[in-house]
Amino acid sequence: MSAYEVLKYRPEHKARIAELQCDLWSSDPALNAAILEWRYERNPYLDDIPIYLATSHGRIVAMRGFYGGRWEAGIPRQENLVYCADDLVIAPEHRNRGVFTLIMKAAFDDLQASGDGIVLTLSGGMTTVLGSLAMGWKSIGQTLPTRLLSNRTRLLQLIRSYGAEVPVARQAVRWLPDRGRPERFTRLDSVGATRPSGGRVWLAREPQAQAMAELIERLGTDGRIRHVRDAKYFAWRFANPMNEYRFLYAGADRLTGYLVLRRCISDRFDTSAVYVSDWEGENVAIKRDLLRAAIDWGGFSELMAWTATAARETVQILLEAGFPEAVRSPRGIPCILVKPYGTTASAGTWTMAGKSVLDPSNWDLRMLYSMQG
Amino acid sequence: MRRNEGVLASRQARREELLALMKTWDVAVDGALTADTPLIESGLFDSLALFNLVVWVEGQVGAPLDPTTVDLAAEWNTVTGVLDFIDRRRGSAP
Repeated sequence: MSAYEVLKYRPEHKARIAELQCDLWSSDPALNAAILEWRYERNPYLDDIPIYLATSHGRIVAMRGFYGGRWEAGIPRQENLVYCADDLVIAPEHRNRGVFTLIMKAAFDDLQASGDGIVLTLSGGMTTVLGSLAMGWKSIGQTLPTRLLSNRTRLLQLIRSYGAEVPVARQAVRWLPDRGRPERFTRLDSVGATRPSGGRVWLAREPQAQAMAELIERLGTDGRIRHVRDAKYFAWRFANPMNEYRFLYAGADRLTGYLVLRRCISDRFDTSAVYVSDWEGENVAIKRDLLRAAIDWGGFSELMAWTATAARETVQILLEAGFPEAVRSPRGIPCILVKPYGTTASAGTWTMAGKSVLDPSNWDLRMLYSMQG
Repeated sequence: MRRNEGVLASRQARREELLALMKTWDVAVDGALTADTPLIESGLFDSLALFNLVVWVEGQVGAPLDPTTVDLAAEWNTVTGVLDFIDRRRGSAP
């Protein structure tokens, strides 16, 4: 008999989860409780809260959550409820005891009973990816991040690598910071307030959820699998208490483009980089203006974007702006994982709206869909 | 140097090394850990131990390993399976 029992989340578990998540989300239980409330309790796609907990002697020692999303594929569009598995945490003394497998089996049994579809893992680290692969998940492909480093960051990296090679410099290099300083939007806010582009691009702290959704609707779809980006989604998505966002908009009477920047405020994650969470425009020139504004106004030490399924012209804009070409990792991560349940699993071919979910060319993946965005 | 020694080690020596290493990974296996103990199927060998195993296999193969290209449940379920995998990779190495 297993030493563990798997339970489904109930509100009285919140305080213990907030404490447990000090290993993953942040060291602040109050922030962790806010993250849980936002991601699961206020998730606009699920009434249920599919968080699975493992207990040992009545104490919660592990959790894995599944938050909901509405994804679309094909022309005409077909919409599907998709679960994203995330937020795995196992108390250190309970690792390698089969807890991960136990939780995932219980979760998939539960999902199976509710219907059929696919589950994604969009933000897993190496250990989560390995545990998932062992349970039959498959990789859609790598996210292929690319990073634009400031001159200061590049110089620090150069000095650090020189110090690693030259013994006499090793001591001095130890005084350098490991990473850049925690990134802030101070410069972006200050430069953005002056509207330096003559109003072509402008900065805001709040999402224009309706206008952004209308732009997405006008731009249409190429039929690839992507999250439904409607006003409901944007309003929920940018309320993530773990992050701070800024929105660069193009267009006067109506929105013609946007670029969303995200920085993490949790002390458990890399706070030295700013991320291009989502980026759209009616044409290449608008997208270029938005990226230029992000780079010039923000002056970030590190700006990161995903390129895996980005359109060729989008990658070209990044390259022109100085981002290096993304390099495929020999270890296959970071990647997106998928696993079907119900009849989708038993059909043998893993598809959504008739499209193979294992073919990366069928996906339009954005950082926004993952918790990195 | 250690990596080279690992690559050149015999299958038997690798087996002993891996079994000894696994004992230090704090995996809660019922009974004795042998070359045929189910690691993945049993669910006991989860993410952290797998990470250690990937690092060890990379040392034996002498190259980074992309685990997304491996059917871990089928190929790495036992120590014997892991050793077979290493033999295949080393055999196919240029």
